[in-house]
Amino acid sequence: MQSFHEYIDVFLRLCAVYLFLFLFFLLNIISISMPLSITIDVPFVLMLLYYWSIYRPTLIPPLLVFAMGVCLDLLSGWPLGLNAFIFLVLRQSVTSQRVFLTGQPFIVVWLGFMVAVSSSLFLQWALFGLIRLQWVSFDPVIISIFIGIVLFPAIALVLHILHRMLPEIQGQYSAVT
Amino acid sequence: MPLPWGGSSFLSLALIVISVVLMVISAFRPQSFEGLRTNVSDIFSPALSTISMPFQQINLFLHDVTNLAQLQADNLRLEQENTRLRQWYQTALLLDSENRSLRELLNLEVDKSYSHISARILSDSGNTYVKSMLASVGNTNGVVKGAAVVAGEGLVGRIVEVGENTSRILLINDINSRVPVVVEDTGQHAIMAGYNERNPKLIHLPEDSKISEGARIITSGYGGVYPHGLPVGRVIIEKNGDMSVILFADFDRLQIIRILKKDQSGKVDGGSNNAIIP
Repeated sequence: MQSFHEYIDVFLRLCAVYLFLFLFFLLNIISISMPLSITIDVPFVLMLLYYWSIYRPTLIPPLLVFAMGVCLDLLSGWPLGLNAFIFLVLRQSVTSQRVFLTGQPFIVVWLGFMVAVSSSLFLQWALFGLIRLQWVSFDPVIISIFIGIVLFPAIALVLHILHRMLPEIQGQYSAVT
Repeated sequence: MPLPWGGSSFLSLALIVISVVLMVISAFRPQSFEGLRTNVSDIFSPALSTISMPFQQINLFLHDVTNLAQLQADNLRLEQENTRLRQWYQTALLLDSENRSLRELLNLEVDKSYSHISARILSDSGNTYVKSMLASVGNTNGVVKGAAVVAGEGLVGRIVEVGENTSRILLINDINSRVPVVVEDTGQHAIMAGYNERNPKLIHLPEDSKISEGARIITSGYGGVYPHGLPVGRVIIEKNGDMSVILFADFDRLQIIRILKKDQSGKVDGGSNNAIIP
């Protein structure tokens, strides 16, 4: 049986995970302007969803993923439901493959992220075009995919540390050794 | 039989269906969620403002560093320009007095019925698809939907959503933006359309229009959204012959904006609301 201070310890560790999630959610909303007026959309939330969907899907229940998507849509001026749809589809697709992905070396997980982020951002672009009937340039999407892929190892490292901080859950398979 | 989407598949599937329904509603009735958007923006504005601040400072720093090489040349050019402008200033004073006497003669009404509200940019929440910004003023400060937004240099956009303490500005380079403009030297009317790229384009120009590169673009006032005469930018001719506009407003450095407010009483609010609302 866990003592009170153990509960507090687990609670604080979970707080750190969700604080990180909230921070990256906010970072996903603000665009980072670069010289020459290039706006970069870094797919931070997709990175977090992908990682936790493999290693700890219980941390991101569907309702939370839906709420995050809806809030992102509302705050960034997207058609409502678009990001919620993309996030839920990503979560479910990755969760269905986690038995395979958890046992793989990082390079395979990274390759999986390349596929996941490319298809998610392409779907986002296509759905936006269909809803608004306006086709925006695909170049910034390619830049976002590239930056997402390049940054993923660094973000995954931080998430890995957070993951190790969390207590083991009985019956869950984990890649953390 | 287990469902293909794992344990919480029913909830996930239900939420995916709800998302699709929301998307369909967004496609056919985009204005349905306006109230919700502004409420959520109001709630998140303090967090967004805090997290945006370091990025705004980094943007300013990067902008200054990348422009360092140009500064010397700019300085020389500006000194020469300043000398020229001093001469023009004298000319302008003469013309102004002449203009005033002519106006009195013609009994011409000049639209002075706009005052302004100054505000800070809380966050640049624009992305690849939507070019917008969140400003620190809302209903309580008298901001109304559709109001034109300008910065020190020129036109920025218009207000599309108004919350209690925040409002969203649709930038003039957004794909949904259409601004009726006029080329200052030729008087040629056109529509300036955003394409989510840096420079908006001039559309609906007659084939025989003669617009020279560098010509100044101002708002025409048609449609009533933007007052007449707001400076917008300068024309550049692209390689494919399209006419684009280099905007006077620098969205990278934007921190304080002015929201134009039509004075309903018809009185001129000479002082305006110059206090910057945090």
